[in-house]
Amino acid sequence: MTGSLRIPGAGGVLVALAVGLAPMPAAAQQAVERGRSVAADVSIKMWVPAGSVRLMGWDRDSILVRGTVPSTASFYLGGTRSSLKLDVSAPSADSSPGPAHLEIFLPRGGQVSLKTVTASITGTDVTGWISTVSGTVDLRGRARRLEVETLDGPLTLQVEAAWVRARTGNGRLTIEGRVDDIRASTVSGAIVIRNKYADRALFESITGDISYAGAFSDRGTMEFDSHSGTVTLALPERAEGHFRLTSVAGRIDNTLTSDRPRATADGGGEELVFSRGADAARIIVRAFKGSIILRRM
Amino acid sequence: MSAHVPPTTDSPAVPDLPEAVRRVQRGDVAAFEVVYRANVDRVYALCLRMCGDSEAARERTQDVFIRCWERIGSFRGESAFSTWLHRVAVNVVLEASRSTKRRLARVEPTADVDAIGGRMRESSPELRMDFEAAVRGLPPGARRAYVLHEIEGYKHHEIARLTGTAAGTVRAQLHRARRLLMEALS
Amino acid sequence: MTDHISEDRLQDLLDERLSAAERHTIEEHLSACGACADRWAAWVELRDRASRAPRGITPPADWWPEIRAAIEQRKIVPMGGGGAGSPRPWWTRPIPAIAAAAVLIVLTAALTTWLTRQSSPPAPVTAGAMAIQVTEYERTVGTLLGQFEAQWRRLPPAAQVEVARNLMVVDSAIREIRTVLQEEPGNETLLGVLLASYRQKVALMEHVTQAAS
Repeated sequence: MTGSLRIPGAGGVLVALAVGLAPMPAAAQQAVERGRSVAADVSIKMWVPAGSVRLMGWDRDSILVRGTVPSTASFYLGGTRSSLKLDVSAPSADSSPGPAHLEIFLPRGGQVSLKTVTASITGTDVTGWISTVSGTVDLRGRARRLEVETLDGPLTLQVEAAWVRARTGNGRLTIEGRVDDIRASTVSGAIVIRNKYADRALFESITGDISYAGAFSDRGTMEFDSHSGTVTLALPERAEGHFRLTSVAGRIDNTLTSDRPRATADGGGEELVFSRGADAARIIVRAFKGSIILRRM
Repeated sequence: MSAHVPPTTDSPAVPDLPEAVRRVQRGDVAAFEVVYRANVDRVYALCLRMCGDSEAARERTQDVFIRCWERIGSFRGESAFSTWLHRVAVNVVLEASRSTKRRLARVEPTADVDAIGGRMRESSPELRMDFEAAVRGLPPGARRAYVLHEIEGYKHHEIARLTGTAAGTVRAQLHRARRLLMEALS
Repeated sequence: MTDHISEDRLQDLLDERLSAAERHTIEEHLSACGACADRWAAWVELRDRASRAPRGITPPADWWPEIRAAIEQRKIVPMGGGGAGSPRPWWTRPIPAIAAAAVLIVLTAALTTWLTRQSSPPAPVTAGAMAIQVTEYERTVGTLLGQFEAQWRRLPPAAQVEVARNLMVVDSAIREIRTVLQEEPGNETLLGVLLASYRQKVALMEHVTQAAS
């Protein structure tokens, strides 16, 4: 699931570094250090199945990769100034390469596409797409766009970004900072959002609780879908908009305003619909069995 | 990488409950049997007393453990596992009762048995002696309030939140339950 | 106090919901009134009986086999060596495949709508439109199944288990909502939550499809 990424151009300082393009021999040393000059908006595609990856955005027109890879693995870094590929591969298709531990410095204006299976990922000031199966993800700083998905591990973003898509299965998904256009989903992990301001937001979980605290634009759209978890919205005291909260079989508790929920037509659930202020913003919460809590920040 | 089947009954014996829970979180069904056997009596007791009916209690007990299997990934150890499972059980039973209420409301005139003074089953010598049977004979709302408060130890406001009723209603239900039990057991 | 203590007050005393002054007044009365003292003793005995109730009750039968069967229905079964008759994974659905290109167009359109959402709030989606989306998601799942299955086998064992558990939760939710929707077909809240569940399922399957390749 990928979206298109706009890469604005950026200038920077060219740093002369050792350049290595050929794949590392299978029986070579364990340490690795590679660097090369790249365009400020370079696109880097990475495959690091296991271990750890630390991504650092910097203000240089170059990339630096250092760390260790298993001696039996094959390490590759190559491509053009605008498009690079980094690969840690096993010597044969039937085996796993083992854990690699890499630090990767790249231009802030660049973008990454990182795929891993179990590697843990940390990063600062990174933009791009990150996909792991059971690794953890922890990203901070500024990003233009981020799309992050993991199956099991916790996912933590402390970022300022225009656009974020984040998904995990059982792990806890935490987003703090300011994200204008945000979408977060889990299967059973909790979703915890502390967002200064959002323009568009969609949060969904099957059984995990969803907790959102923050403001939203006066023309924004905030949507929450929950099968059986509790949805908690903590909003500014004077939050304005059109609110539509429904729970098919759960309860609604509102202490943000004096509006009271009413029973649904079949009497099994509750709904709360009201408008406040300019009411151009839309706040929609749909729950099947979970409860909905609306309160002040 | 070849296909792998999650471990089943061939797994080595699990030493203790916390370890069993950890294994269940990794998909170990054999470990889940350990969890089941360590907790089923407690869960069944809650379900039987809350439902008032052994067939419903059987269904709810099974629902609780299936829900436990589905959601155990979200158990992070902040409380004891038995406490977590107990909350799951209470939620399962209460959700089922709300669903039943909706279903019944479609086919029967709306009538809250509790509101019109639901009765105990007729007292019999055996009933007078059997506390458990007397509890099961309570009207649904009174029974839920009584079981959650007197046996499970929840406070009035906690029961109010769980059941979506006012604390005053919980108090009234609890008082009525005690009166009815007093009559049945005297 | 010259009148007897009401039943409600005795119960409030039992629940420790009285102020110290109220409690003192009632206790003074109980020490002087035999009838009320007998009633109080009866309430206390009832409370003690509840506290003596066993915490656990042994079920009349062993339900582990049924519970295990319910869980096994959601579990992965071994594909064996590819021999004939090997049981297929539980997520296999006999959904008729439609042209992959058509499915891709529908799915891409659905995703693109979200990815490139305009600044003005979207128009409300009708229940009919939601129902159509549900049908399309089912078709998409059917189209993804083969590739998903193949890629799932390439994952590490622990990841295979996690994928299965996640899909089990999602599928259980979908089944549950669809059951209720049979009685309330136009319920937009249910349809919205159902669509969210399908989005999760498709995203999960796509994640696995990409992860192992």
